Amino acid sequence: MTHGIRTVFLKELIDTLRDRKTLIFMLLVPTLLTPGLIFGIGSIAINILKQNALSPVVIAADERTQQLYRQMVFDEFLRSDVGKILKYTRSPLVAYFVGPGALNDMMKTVPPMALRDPVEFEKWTRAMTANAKETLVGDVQLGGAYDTISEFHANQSPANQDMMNRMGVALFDFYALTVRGLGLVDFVDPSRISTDAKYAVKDLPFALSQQADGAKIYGAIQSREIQGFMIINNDLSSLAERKDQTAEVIFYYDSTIALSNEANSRVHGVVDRASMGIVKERVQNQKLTPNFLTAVEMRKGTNLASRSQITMEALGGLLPYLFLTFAFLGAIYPAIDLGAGEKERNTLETLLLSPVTRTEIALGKFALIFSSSLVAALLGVLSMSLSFVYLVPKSVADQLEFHVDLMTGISVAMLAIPPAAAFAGLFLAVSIFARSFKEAQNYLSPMGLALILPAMAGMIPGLEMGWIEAAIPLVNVSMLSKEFLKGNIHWGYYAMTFGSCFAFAAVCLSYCIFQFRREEVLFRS
Amino acid sequence: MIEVENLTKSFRDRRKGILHAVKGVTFASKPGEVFGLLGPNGAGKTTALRIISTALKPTEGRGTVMGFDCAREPEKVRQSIGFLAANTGLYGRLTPRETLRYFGSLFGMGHRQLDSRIEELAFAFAMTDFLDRPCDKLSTGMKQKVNIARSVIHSPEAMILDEPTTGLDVLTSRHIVEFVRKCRNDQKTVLLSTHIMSEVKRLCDRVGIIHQGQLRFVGTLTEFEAAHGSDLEEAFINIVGGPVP
Ligand SMILES: Nc1ncnc2c1ncn2[C@@H]1O[C@H](COP(=O)(O)OP(=O)(O)OP(=O)(O)O)[C@@H](O)[C@H]1O
Ligand SMILES: [Mg+2]
Repeated sequence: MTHGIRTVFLKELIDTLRDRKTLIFMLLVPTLLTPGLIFGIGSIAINILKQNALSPVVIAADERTQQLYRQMVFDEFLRSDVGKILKYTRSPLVAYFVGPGALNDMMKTVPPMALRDPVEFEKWTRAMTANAKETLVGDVQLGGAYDTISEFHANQSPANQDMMNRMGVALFDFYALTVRGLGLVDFVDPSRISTDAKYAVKDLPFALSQQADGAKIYGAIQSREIQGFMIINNDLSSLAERKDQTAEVIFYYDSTIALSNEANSRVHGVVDRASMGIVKERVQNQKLTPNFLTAVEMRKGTNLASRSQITMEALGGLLPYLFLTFAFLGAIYPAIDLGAGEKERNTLETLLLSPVTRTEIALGKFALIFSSSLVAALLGVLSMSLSFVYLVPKSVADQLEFHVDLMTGISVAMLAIPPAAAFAGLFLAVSIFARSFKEAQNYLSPMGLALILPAMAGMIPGLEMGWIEAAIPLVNVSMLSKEFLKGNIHWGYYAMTFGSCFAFAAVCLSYCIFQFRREEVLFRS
Repeated sequence: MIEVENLTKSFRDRRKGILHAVKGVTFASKPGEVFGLLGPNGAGKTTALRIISTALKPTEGRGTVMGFDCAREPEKVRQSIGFLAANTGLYGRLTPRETLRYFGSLFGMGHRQLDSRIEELAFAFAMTDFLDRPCDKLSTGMKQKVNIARSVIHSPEAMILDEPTTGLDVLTSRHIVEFVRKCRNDQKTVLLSTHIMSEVKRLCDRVGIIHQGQLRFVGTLTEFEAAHGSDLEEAFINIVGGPVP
């Protein structure tokens, strides 16, 4: 019995290893997909970051509005912690950090002492640099040494520059920030808008028609010449004193255009912050404490899940999704080749006329497809793990803190076995049933789509693992590996997962053997 | 020795209902003798040969090869026959050597035994030059040789050849002709099917003429000529066109 299985297996192994298509899907795709994705997504993310965070949006506004906006930003800036420091140091402060949010995060961690004393502040920044990953601030350079970002860049060590490039670090200098208006806005005079009106604008308010030609502006947004149009109707100065007055800012934009939407949120942010600063001053002027504004506050840091669990809840579904996909890819081509391929090449009859039993033939073929699927899945997981360790920028990887011990790692890797068995059985059965290569492909390709559902089970929020889920082949693999990664070890479900997938594979295998025994398998035409 | 007795095979056909591909066929083919099953397209030749080679089960009647029943002892029958059809394919990515090794192994042959058998066959069929080239890259003639060698890797007592020369040119079919003659000299039983009259004349000792699933004539070539005249083509058409005896 084993002799026949081994003979069939070894022959199919040689045959498969010489098939370029199978090799690509079994070895190359699983190995290269994750690094490719990381590089791809990484560079796209960096590009988006650069484009959105660094490039100012262009907003049209008349001279007066521009001035008022700058005033608002400057006042707001002076009210901010950074502004307070700048007041002391009176020098350009250059910092680089990942993403726009990092600045705020950084400022939150500045101790009060450091805020009052520039020397203390510098000490603090040096200390921060030492454990930079904590706050995402790579380095903070303080003092008058560098006037511009390029100068700052030029004075960094090659290793530092390399690191900045690799991390896709966004560079901000506080001067540019203040001058351009913290929200990174460039203004143009409405009279300079060149685009001819393409659309008639009926219902722009009266105020707009006083400032500029409404239709012209809408056309300019459509043609991407500007991203929005701003009007500030009221004087913004001493609003803190004029405590019953509300100034009005109007911003016209088109939410269906990404950059225009972005412009709106930047302007919104600036206006909200400025407004809040003024409100705080008003509150203080009334001899009230800032607590006046916050009656009830939610305490931070009450999430009891570990960081590892939080990360895995978010990302744990991705791993089974990928390895189910790899197992699928690793199985599909050999399955087509070993089943329908025998008919296509007219080799099935001679094979069936050899004295090995049909069971041996089916098992030998199954073993090869199973191995191919398993190799693909394991290679995929291995490549993914290595990619995460070596390719993901450290700053990102540190955010995704998780802990997987060896035992869990091995248990999860072994979860590649049940789907490989299930796929091998199912695909071989379908492939043997099919009359030709093409027919087999037609049957099997849609299964790739059908697979997405069970594979994503681990990513569906709110779906909890139970005995029923553990009994559904593939769904159980997806959900269980996520649970294991989160640290919820449940050997009962584990056994159930193996059992149900193997049972499924066994049913498929019996069908294969049944097909091989049927006369019609040879002569269906 | 191949014997069939009242062999019948019916297929269920969706349109035509029950179709008798082979009906009450009886004949015997002895060692050292080439038996030719001659008949037009759709006569039932392939079906009959497939029953004997154990790929199909007969609806009625029985076939035996070397005394083993085709339906009840298929493994033993498979060990005793070599099967070759014109359209039999090869695994393109395997070399002839690997192909022979694979089938030899399927037939339960050991490593050493296989190696010497492959050498022997490579020499006999002049395959030494391309023994280690992928089958995909071989010419039709080379492939035919590999296929023949494959069918006799386990030294079967009987050969079953289904229209072995169909689609081959004169030169390539000569390999087959020589092979069949060699089998006869080696006292093997050879059963072949064909629809070419001249092939029967060239190769066969005995002939069975089959039409619409039924044998219309069984006998030696000399008997055939004595009964129907020396123009075989004419005689064949007469028999096939004539009433069922
Ligand atoms: N699996 C099958 N199901 C239904 N009918 C079949 C099947 N196999 C063969 N037949 C029918 O049986 C008859 C005999 O077919 P067979 O292939 O044995 O003829 P043949 O003599 O080999 O013809 P050819 O010269 O074309 O090879 C044909 O009418 C064919 O359509
Ligand atoms: Mg035929």
